[in-house]
Amino acid sequence: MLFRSTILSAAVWVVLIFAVRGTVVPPESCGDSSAEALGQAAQNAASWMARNQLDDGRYVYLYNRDTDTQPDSYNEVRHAGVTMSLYQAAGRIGDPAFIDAADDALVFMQDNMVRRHGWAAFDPNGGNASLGASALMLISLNERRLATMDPMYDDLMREVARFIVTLQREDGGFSIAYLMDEDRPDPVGTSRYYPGEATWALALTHEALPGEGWDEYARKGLHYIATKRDDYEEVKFPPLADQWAAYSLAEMVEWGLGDDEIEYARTLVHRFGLLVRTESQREGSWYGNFFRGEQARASGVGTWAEALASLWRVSMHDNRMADLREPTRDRVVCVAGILAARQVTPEEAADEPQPDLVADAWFHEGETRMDDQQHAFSGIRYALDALENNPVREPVIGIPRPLQ
Amino acid sequence: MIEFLRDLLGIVATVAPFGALPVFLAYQRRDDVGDARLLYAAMPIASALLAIAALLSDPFLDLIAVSGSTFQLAAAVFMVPLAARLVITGTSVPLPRHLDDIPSRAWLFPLAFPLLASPTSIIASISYAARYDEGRTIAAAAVVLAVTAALVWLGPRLEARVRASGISALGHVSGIVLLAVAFEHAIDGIRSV
Repeated sequence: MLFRSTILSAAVWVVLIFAVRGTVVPPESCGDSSAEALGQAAQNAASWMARNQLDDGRYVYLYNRDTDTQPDSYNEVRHAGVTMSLYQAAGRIGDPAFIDAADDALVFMQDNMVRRHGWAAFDPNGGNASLGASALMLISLNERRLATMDPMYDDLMREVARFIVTLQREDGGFSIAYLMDEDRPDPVGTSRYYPGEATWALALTHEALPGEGWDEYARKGLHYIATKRDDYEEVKFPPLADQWAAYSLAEMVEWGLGDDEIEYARTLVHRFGLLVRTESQREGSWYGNFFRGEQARASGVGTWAEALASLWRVSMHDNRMADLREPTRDRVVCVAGILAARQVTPEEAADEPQPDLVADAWFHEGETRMDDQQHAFSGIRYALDALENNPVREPVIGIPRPLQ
Repeated sequence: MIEFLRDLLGIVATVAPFGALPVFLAYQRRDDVGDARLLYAAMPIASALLAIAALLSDPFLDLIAVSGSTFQLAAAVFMVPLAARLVITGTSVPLPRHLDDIPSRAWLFPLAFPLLASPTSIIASISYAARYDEGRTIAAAAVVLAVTAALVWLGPRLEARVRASGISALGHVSGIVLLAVAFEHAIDGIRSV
């Protein structure tokens, strides 16, 4: 009797263990997280962005490798984002080719500016000038300044910063756009991610142009994000996974963060940590897709790496986050390894109709979008900092540019 | 201190002394079980098994390529069958009904394993060692098994006072506590980095 019940019990446990292993705790894989692999992956991703730039300064927006087609669409916010990453690549990798490409993209932005009331906004479509495109343009200008130490665009930075401040509400939040016809900020529309972009842009601008008061607006923006944004935007499962907010926290940590902002940073670490753990269990099989969903596209995974790298920097500067240093570092290095492992190698792309569009890129359902490479590059590059224990994001030595 | 108390609660919930007590009492009542004092050997053996599990936590998780926080979800899932059994029956395992059910080394099998050091408590030991640290979990297991020994020693008097139904009620409550522990452990696993 005892023998029989023991065998039965053991059998039930074996079935349960296999079921749990298959569904709840499949192996977590972090790919190749060595410094060499990550450095190469970042370099290759930056090369893709520079290599696939069009004559007018824009980039290849979408490419479908299955059909060998480039759908006809473009997005100005992502244009500014890719340009930002290219300037980051220029500063951190030190390759002038990246800055040349980014400068061409900057010309496209300069050619598509609207100006009013002393401010300037990037608005290639005409109509309503969106906050996000200009915020990322301002970040790009700041990254260029960091990479080159060239002050030639300082006045343009001030103009764009004034546009962002124009859209800031009293509570620190931001309108989504400026209604050009009505000549006023959109009184209703908001965005979940634009406040983070705008706040980081203003924080960077304060670092570049100290004493001009941009920090006051950045602080308001960060406080809004940390304490009100998720409620305002009715985020169902807060905190919103917002890497721009994480960049802002890392930029402003040296200014001193409030307890509510640190608490917010901690919740972000937990959120991004969970996303990375889940992704590390997605091996891409039909079985895995069924239980854990499909692998996320690189533009998403890259933002998790960007966020965790930023939050790791916060933990390095603020002892209220000290207990999260090691786990955050582990996660960001892991997610960078995942990205590196999923990047298409030149060998894999050799037989494609357009190998230059396939090699060094990330594909999701046969498609790559320019911001896949943008977020993957930035995420991997800053994860490498965590791996090498370097808490300084800015380039140490810039690439001098001639004054024009 | 808070972490040790959480660890202690997790181990006590998965060892479930009140769910195990009716089994010990049943064995103590049987003449053919031999020296009833020998049954107390189950406690140090179970404690040692849980300590080994805690010590092997890191290499085990490395072997199965799972982080401690993810493993917490699995540990929580493994707590549910025992919790359900406790809630429904009030005991951790079926009580022995026949003479054949009593093995000659009952103190080892089934009392030390799988009653006290059950798959659930072993997995919990691995998980809590990863969540906090091995030393704390080993200490928690030692405390829990010492308390269990005291409970078994006091068992007949407790049974005389509250009767079998009272002990069974405490077993049912143990199941509810274990469900709460499983929930907390899972939530912490999800929230962890």
